[in-house]
Amino acid sequence: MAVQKVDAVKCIGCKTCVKSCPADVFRFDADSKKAVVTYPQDCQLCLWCVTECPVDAIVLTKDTVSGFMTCWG
Amino acid sequence: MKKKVTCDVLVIGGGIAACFAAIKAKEAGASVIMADKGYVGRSGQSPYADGFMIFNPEWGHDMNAAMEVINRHSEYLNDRYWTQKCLEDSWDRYLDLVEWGCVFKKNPDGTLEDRSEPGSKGPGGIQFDKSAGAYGMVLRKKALEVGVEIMDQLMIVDFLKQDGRIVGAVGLPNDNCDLTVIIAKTTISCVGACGYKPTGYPPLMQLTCDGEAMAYRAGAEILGKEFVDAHYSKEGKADPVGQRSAGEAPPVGMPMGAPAPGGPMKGAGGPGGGGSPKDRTNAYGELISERSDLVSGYMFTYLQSEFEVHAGNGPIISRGAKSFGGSALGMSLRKADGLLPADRQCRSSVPGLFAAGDALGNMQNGAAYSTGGSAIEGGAVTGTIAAHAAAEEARGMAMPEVSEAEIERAVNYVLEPVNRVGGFGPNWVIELLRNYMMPYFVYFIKKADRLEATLTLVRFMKEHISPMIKANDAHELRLAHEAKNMILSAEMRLLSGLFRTESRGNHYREDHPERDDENWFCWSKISEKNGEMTIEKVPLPEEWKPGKDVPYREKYPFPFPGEKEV
Repeated sequence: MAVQKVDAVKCIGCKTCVKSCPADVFRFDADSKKAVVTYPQDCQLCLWCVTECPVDAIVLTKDTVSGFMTCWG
Repeated sequence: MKKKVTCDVLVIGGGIAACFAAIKAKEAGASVIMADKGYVGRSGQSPYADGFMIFNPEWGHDMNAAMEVINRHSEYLNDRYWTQKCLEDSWDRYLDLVEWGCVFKKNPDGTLEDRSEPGSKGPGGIQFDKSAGAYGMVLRKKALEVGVEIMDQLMIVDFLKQDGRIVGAVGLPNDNCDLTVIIAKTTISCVGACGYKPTGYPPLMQLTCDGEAMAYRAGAEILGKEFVDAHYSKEGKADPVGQRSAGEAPPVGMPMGAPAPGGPMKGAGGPGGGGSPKDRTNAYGELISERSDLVSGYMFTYLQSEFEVHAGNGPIISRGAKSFGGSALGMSLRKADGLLPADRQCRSSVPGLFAAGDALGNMQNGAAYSTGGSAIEGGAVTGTIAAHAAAEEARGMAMPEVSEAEIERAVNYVLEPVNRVGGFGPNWVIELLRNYMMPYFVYFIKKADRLEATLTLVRFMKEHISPMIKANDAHELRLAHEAKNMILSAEMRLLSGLFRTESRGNHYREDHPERDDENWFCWSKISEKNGEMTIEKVPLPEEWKPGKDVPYREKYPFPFPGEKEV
């Protein structure tokens, strides 16, 4: 249920997800004028992005358990 | 490169307390900057809350009767001034919200829907009507309308201090390392409660104890870290925001430390372990164990669920869905952990710094969750009080002239992790801390040996890991500071848990299961002295203490496992 990607076909570049995400997962790509998932590892499953996206462009994983961080550095 | 701005009042945060603080300070004539790590209106826990505690004598509410119930459920550690003040001011703050455009749920006859029991002497519980839109966005619009300058996605990382006074702060944007230096005559911290990024409890995800960590480093006193909040998550479809319009509603239940929360010790007087659900202002529902026993009439409001899990009776079913404990990892009871108020105007113990909402440890609810809807309502009340006092203090005061040396010190502090050549990745540090703190047998069911063991590990993290966290970009720099702040908070929490050698409300010590009015009728406050974290008692007025002649179980209806009536 974590954020996986933004559907580039649906995305209208409104930046709503970029502004909504409390975990700072998204960035706006100035070249493509689309939002992109840049830090998926920090998604905390609140799904504000899904709630707020006006065109339903947020694609979620099927996972319901977040992975463990096993390295340092 | 950095930006430098000035204002009369700097408000940090973007939830209801921050919105009230900013709007009211602006209306009082101050120039206001509101800086928030998230996006004002969608920030913090406020969007997830819908209840608003209300007190109105015209509804048959009676102050003495209401206070008597709250005092008992607070296990007598509530600050009676603040409890009563929050009741008294609740109606006016409700009227503010309505005037600004917020909508509350109504009965078919147009009267306000009240969740309290019929015949209640108060307080009542009303709810935002989220079908009318997110009220946070109404507050944002109002703040912009009155002329508040909003700085979204700017994490305030360190205060500026000069001649013993807070004179502003340094902020880090989310997507670049060009810092913003904000010089302010007064500052109000409305950063909300504390959390350790507990996946599965979205409200806390950006609340990483930044406010109390900054304030602690600046010399403030921190209160109430031993009283842990026991909110849980539920498996299955849920809609915490109440605003979902697109996509599938997600399961918010995620396995955390304890497999499930549940209810009170059984055989102790029925649901809730002895107290009557009818005399609570907000009985949320029931929790059922795997064996179909009713284990609590109060859901998460006391620690009974964790006792049930400890006894091997989890998972617990709440309103038809399996629930998961430990979700609100890192959070104290509402209004417990926060800055100790130095006066009744929401000043902290450091000049120039005020606090409101969950960031203010005004002990409105004492040692247990004694009033539902007080999170939002208390934020509105204290945000308003802090705003008036901060605007008044700023009036006629010259803009502080902050030395370049102090600005450079704060800027270097903020940028240190990104300037490091080597070090530890912030996500690994956060994961490590979470795994130390999340076991229910450390966090909820406490005992000296387990607390000491964890404190040793957390102190090692503070001394050895914290100074060597490395960030590769602005995003990681934010995480690095979040990690440092959470480590500091974890040390406070463990130290407070170890210090209070009794059990009370939402603090349970397996090795000290009794309430001890003789020695622990007090709060505990943490501050830094000579570079060391120290903890000491804050005595309370003798007249707040429950009478010696009142039978123990009457004073304390909720029994702890292993507790003898003394």
